Amino acid sequence: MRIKWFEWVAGTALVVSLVGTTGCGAVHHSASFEPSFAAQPGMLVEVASVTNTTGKSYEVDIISMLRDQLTTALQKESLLSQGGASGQQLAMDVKIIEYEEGDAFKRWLLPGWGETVLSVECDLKRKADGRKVGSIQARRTVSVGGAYSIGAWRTIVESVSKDVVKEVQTKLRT
Amino acid sequence: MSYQKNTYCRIVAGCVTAFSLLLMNGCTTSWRAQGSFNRTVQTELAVKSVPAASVYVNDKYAGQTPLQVPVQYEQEVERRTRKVSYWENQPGWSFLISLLSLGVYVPFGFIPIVEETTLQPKDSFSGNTIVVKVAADGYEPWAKQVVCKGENSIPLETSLQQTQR
Repeated sequence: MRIKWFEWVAGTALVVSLVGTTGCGAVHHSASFEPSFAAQPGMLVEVASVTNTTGKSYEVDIISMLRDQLTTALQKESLLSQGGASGQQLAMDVKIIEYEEGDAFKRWLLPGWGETVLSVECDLKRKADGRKVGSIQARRTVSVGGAYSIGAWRTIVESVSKDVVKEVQTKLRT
Repeated sequence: MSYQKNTYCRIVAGCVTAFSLLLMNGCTTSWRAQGSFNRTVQTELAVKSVPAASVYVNDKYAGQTPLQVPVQYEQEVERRTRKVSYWENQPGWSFLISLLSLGVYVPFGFIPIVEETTLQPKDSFSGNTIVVKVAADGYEPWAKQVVCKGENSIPLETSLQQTQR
C-alpha cells in the first residue's frame, strides 16, 4: 500500500503541531510539605532570599531575574506578601541549583546540544518562628528549537517561577 | 523465495535493534563531581520532662515542656553530571525528530551531548550539634548535646533531680 503525498504532508503537519504545542524540553516540579502543616486562609508568601549555589557566574543577573519573576508570579496569583503581620506569612528561600544559558543556534543544529537549563529548590518557612513547612523543586530544560527558542535563557526563568508558584498555590489555595 | 526474504528482513531488523541498543548504552560519559551546595534540613526535638520545665536550645529559650521544637542545619549535597545522548534523555522527542527528518537524525541522536545532573545528599552536616538544656526552679538543670543527622524527630526525655539543700 502506498502512502499518498497529502497523507504524508498531513501526518507531518500533525506531528509538527504536536511538537509545537507540547513544548520543547523537559518539565519537572514537585513539592513536599510537613504533614503537620495546614494552610490557613489568607496565607501569603514573600521571596526572602535567592542564592546562586551553582558555583558559576553568569553574564545575566540570574538572581535578580528569578526574584523578579517569582514576585510577579506570586502577585498574579494574589499570593504575594506585602509585609505586615508575620502570623499568616511564609518566607521563601530559593536556591539556584543549575543554570545553563544554552544556545539557540546549537539547538537548531542538533537537538539537545546547547540546552537551556534552570533548576531550583525552594524552602518555605513560617515567618513567625522560622519553622520549615515545605520545599519545592522545579526544573525545566529547552533542548529543541532554532530561532523561536532565542531568549530561552530569559523565558525559562519565567516558566520555572510559574511552576514554583503553581505548587505553592496548590497547597495554599485548595 | 518469500521465506528467504522474510528471514533476511528479520536478521537485518535484529542487527539494527542490537546495534541501536549497543549505541544507546555506550553513549554515556561517566559521572563527574561538579561541586556541592548546602540544603536546609529540619529535625524536630520532642522534649519531655518531669516536672514541666523550661527548654533552652543553644542557650535560647524555646518554651515549656512538653515541647516540639524544630532545629535547622545544613546538609551537603553533591552535584554530579554526565553527558548522555538525546535518545536516552528524551526518547519521545528523539523519535519525533527522527520521523520528521526521515531518519537522518538517528545517528546524531546517539552523540552524548545532553548534560544529566544528579544530586546526592552526603553524610556531611554543618551546624547540626545542638545543646538542649532543661531547667526548673528547685531542680538540677539537665543538658544534652544532640547531633542531628537528618532525622525527622529526636525524642528527649528527662526526670529532673531536686536540688539538695
